Amino acid sequence: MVKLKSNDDKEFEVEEAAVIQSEMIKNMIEDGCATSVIPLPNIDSKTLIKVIEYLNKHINMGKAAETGEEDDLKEFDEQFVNMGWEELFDVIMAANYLNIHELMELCCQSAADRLKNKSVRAVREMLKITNDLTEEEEQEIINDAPWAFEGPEIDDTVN
Amino acid sequence: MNILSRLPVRTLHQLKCVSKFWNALISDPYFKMKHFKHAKNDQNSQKILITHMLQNGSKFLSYCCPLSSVQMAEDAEKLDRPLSSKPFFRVMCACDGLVVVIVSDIMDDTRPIHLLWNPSIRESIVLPAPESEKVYSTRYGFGYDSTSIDYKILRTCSVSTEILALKDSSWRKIDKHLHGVRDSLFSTSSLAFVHEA
Repeated sequence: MVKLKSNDDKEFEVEEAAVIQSEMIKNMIEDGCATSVIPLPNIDSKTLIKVIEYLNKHINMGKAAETGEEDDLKEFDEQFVNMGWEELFDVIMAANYLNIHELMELCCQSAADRLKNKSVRAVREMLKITNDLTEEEEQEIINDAPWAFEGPEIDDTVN
Repeated sequence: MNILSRLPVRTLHQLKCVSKFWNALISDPYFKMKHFKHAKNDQNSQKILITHMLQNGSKFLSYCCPLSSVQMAEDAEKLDRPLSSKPFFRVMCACDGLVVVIVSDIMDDTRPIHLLWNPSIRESIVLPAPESEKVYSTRYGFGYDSTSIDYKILRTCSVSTEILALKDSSWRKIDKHLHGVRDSLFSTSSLAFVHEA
């Protein structure tokens, strides 16, 4: 068992087989640095619980193909990313920090799917970006590729 | 960047308007390369380009359809072809989403204009005119040469063979004649430019 500690001082015990899906922790274990609790100063307990849930489910990913559990995993993944935008971003940050490739792929794809066809205004709001382009600069970008700005299905909602 | 490289080209063009940083990021060659690599490996973003001529021969239409069968019918996107003032239009060969097309005023023109077209950004450039005339048996091949980091177009007919590296401004004649490759050029999407340089 490996002990992880979130930045709000909660400890979690995870099976080694599950936790080594994180390249970062795998390296720590190999280097013998994981004997006591591993502090994760960038991850809060709420996010860490999600990540551990994913790790535990994907513990035997290689075997899933043999045992016909692939569909089950797929369903789990679909359910897993069904979370709020902010929460999803926290998980992406954690997956990036812990270097969990599959989780990163899953969450980034979900984020991309949500951004697809969103209006510029909605994207700015979702990612808390302030627009620093002048009106002329913005117009110039539109003039460069007017076809990209035409057409329907532009979604102005933020979620 | 990991998230953005999964988005379609159209969305990315719009998102350039988000902020100065996003405009710079999306326009950056490194990002473009990352986006291309991702799209190439992504089953869902594979697309097929279909062009056909209306029966009276007056109009050519181009469509872009995703290859995953679920979406096929609904998602066909009509494309404006480049240089639409010229009525005749033919796709010769394609590689990595780039298409070599010829356009002309009359059918079977021996000196058509050669264009390199990127349908996903709706942009095209005029290629230099080849030396030899285009005849019925002229075949084209198009591929990426990783030794010179450039795309090359090969054009061959029974009497001559020419090659155009996109970085160069003119076609180069190849003395050695390539017998027997004429029809096979049609079937390969990317040629291995091993012997040329």
